[in-house]
Amino acid sequence: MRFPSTPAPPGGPPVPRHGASPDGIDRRVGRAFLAANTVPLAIGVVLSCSTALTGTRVYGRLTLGVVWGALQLGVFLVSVWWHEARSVRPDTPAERFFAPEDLPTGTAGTSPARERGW
Amino acid sequence: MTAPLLLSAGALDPVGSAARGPVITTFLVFIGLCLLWVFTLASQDEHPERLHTAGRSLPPVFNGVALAGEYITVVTLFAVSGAIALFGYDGFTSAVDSVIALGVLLLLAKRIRDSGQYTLGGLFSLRAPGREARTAAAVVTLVITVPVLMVQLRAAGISAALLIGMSSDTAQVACTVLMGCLVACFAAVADLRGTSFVQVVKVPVTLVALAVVTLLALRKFSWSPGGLLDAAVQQSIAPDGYLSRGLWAHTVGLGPLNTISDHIVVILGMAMMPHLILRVAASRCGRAARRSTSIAAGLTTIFYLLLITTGFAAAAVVGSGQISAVDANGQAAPILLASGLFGYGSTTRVVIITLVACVAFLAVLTAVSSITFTAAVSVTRDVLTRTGRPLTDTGQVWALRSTVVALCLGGLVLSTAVHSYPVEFLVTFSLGVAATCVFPVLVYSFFWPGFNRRGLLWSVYGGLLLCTVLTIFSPTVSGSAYALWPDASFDWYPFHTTGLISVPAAFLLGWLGSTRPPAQIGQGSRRTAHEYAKG
Repeated sequence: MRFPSTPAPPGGPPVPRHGASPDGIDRRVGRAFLAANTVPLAIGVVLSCSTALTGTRVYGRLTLGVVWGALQLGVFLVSVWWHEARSVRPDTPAERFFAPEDLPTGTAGTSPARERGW
Repeated sequence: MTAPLLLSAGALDPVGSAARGPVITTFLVFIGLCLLWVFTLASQDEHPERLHTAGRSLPPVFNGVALAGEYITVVTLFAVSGAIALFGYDGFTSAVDSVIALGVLLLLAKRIRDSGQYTLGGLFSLRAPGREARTAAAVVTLVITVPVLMVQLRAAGISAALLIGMSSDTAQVACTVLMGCLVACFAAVADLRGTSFVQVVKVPVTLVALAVVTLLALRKFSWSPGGLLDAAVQQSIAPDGYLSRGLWAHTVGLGPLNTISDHIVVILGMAMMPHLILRVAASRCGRAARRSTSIAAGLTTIFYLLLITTGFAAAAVVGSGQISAVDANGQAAPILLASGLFGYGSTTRVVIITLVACVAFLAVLTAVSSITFTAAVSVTRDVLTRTGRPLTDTGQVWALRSTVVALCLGGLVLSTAVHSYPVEFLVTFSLGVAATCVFPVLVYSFFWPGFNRRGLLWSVYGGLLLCTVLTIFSPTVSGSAYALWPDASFDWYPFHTTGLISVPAAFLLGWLGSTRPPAQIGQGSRRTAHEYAKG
């Protein structure tokens, strides 16, 4: 993942360009994820309202309704993978700089997370 | 959509007398081992918030697998595969919606965790601090969880009765009580960490069991998925319409708007269940919550793909006619498929049936304990600790345990009391309430700084009232052959689910309540809430 930034002053952290903050990246990725899934879902909903459309043969026994549902699942799976890959992850050095507020935060009285795991 | 009707088997013995002994023995040994393991996971922690959220220390992958496990319930296992086996496309599209629901949760996961809250009460109080919002959240949590609890317990009892070949009402009630008591023992000592371990074990066991059943079914059709689908269509009750809309008996004649309503309820309702929100909120940080949800989405997609194949395989191997003869909604399909893959007397057959039975028990154990735990956390944290006399830590833990036991026993009593009634509408009602009372409030809380206490209360109570009234006057309660009271007829609301009306209405009420003067209401809380919501 790329984090556009201007050159850092000597000994200082990099300065993020306008709109390239982790939250900005997350928002853009979230919007793309929403769009990628909303379109197939909307078409799927419209299809599921019509017996004739869903029953249209596409290949062998497979009908348009079943093929579209499978396509929806495929798009969903790929978009989830893409969303996770493109979003800012907690273990990247850039994020550790950009988003110190996202370090583990328990509520009052809880023990904050310490151990690393899978 | 999936209507998780309970098994209503007549005289049926899919296991067979020869295999019953080994199946029951192995099943009981498995239950014993599970309970022994569960008691080793029992928490001695006296700090309430560490019990509620496991100290927010669960690693993202571990929590993600556990979140996927929350989706694997006995109702899902039997209802979805059964619906696909009997109703083809109608069941299939419901399964697709269930997966897509995790996308909604994924979009909100980081904000939920970053809010620092883990009950609905906490999330509701982001915009409206005070007892009213927390009480409303506790009411909504109970209204969502108790019906689901009843259906899970009853489905558990009836599937257990099916396995022992005793399908009389008395045997089913006895099995329900027995299973309920076993599960209550676990729920009473469990915390989030303990249930997470069992969830994490359940996911691979379930996926392996479904994969084995699917592969064995494919082997019967020379490893040809096309051949399996072809057989499923041929063996269905209506080969011409099996892979197109309209076979689902509950929704026949209700029209396209009913279909849209079903989509809304399944997608939003399944995303907003309180036990899922608790698990997401128990993540280490916002981005860990998102990562856990992504992992859960991947695993859940695999689970549903296997479940869809199992449904089609059941139709192909057993035949829809035989499945519907056992249960009108096909929920015996997985057990019938497991018993139909090999001939009587085969050892492999005993192993497969036992495997399915063990998966079903794990699903009941985890689902019931998660649901009761979440409801108890909500009651304890949002109601009991907000009284005039705050509870000590020990008092809170005691209250939590007592509430869990009370919920389990209450659910069990209700479940046995309504045993002879078709209560499938309870699950759709719960999903409708989750979609109506939780989703709009969270969206407004996270994205609209102008949302205030009045808007929240109008949205929650107005939505809840609408859901209740519309459900009472829907075809699920009267006026249809599948209704609670089929002979009565007061079904003026024409849809099977409430989402089409209640979700937009809840949004509208939230907006109206928030924008209606006097505008100064909630001003004090807006700044704080906005800071939370920015995450």
